[in-house]
Amino acid sequence: MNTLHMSQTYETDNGLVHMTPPDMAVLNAVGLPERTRILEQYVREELGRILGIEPWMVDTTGRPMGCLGIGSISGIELQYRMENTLGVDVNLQRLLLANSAQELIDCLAGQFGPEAHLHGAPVPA
Amino acid sequence: MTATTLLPAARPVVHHQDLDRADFTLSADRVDLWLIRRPTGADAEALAIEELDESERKRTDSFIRRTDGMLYAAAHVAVRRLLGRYTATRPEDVRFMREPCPGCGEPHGRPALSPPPPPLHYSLSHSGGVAMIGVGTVPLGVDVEKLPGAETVDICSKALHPQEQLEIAEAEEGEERRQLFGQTWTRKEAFLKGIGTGLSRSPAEDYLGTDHDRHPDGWTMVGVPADGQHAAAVAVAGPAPARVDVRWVPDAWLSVGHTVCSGTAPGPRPAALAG
Repeated sequence: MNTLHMSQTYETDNGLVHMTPPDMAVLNAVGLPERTRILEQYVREELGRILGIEPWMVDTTGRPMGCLGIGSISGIELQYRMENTLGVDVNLQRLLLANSAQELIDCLAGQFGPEAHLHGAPVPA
Repeated sequence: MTATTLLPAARPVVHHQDLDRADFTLSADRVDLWLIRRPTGADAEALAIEELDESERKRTDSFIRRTDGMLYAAAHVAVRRLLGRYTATRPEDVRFMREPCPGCGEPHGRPALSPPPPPLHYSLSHSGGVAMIGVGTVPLGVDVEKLPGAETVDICSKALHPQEQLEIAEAEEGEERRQLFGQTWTRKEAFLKGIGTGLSRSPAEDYLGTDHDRHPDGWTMVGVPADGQHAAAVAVAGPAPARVDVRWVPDAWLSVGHTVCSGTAPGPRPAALAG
C-alpha cells in the first residue's frame, strides 16, 4: 500500500491539537483494559481531527457514527488513517454502521495483544 | 453488406433553471431531483418536525452538531412531504421499508415506501448543509457531498477504481482535483445506492470515472448542478431517462402550516452554480 504523508496535528476553534499515534509494541504487550484505553485516546484523536473538535469532546458511547458526523467520505478517510497507523484491516461498512465509537474501539482492541495472536487474528504490521 | 453505425448512448438533459411548476407526476422519461438547504433562523424554528416519527425525531436529537441534526430533520420532513405529494398520502402517514440486500437478502437494501406503491422509487442523501431527494419510476440512487479538503481527497482517492485514481491524479492540484473527486465519488455512491449494496461493495470495484461509455451496463449516471461547495449525482437503472429536473425546495415548503404545493420551486442561487 502506498502511504501518504499524514499530518499529526489539526486545528480546532480552540487551537492546535497534537496527535500521538499508539506505539505498536506497547499495544501488543499490554492487557485488554490498557489497550482499550490507548486505542480510545487514538480513536478520539482521529475522530476529533475529522470533525474539527478536541478529542475530549468526542462522544464515544452515546451516538452512532453517522450522528457524530461521519459520512461515507469521512468514513473512508478514517478507515485509511486507522489501517495505515495500526496496520489492521478495518471494515468500512461496520465502521459506518457502528452504534458508537466504542464498538470500533473494542473491535480494534481485539486485534492486538497476546490473546489476538493465540486466536489466529491477523498480526498487525 | 450493411454498415452498422454505433451511436453514443443517449444522455439525459438536465434542467435546473426556469422550470415549470412541478406537477408531482411520475414519468418513465423523467427523474425529479429535489435539493434542500439546511434551514436556519426562523425557518429552522418553523420546521415541521412533528411530522417525523419517533425514530426520526430521536435521531435528529442524536447528532453531535445541531446543524447536522437540523439538516437530517429537514431532509426527512421533505421526504415525507414530497413523497406524500406524489402518492396523495399525508406526510405523517408515509411509511418506509428496506428492500432485500442484493448481497445477503436481509432487509437492509434500498429504502422504499411501504407498502411499495409501484412504480415510485426514491433515494435520499445529505451532506454538509445540503440534502437531495431523487424520485423516479425505476430504481435510482442519489448522492450529494460537500467537497472535501486536499488531504482527504488524496486519502480517499486511494479507495477508488485504479482508472479513477489515475484521472484524479492527473487533474490539476487544488480546486480542479477536488471537483473531479467530488463528481467521481458522487457518481460512485449514487450507483452503489442504486444497486442496493451501498458501501458493502468496494468503491474500487466499478469504474465511474469521466468516461461514461465505460460505466456499468444498465445504469445511467448523471452529474447534478448543486452549489459551488457540493458535488451531486444520480444513478438511474435501465435506459437513460430523457430528462432530469432539478429543483431547490423552498424553505417554506417544510414549515408548519405549509405544503409542498404552495408555491413554485426556484432554481439554484445563480452565483453558486456548479458545472
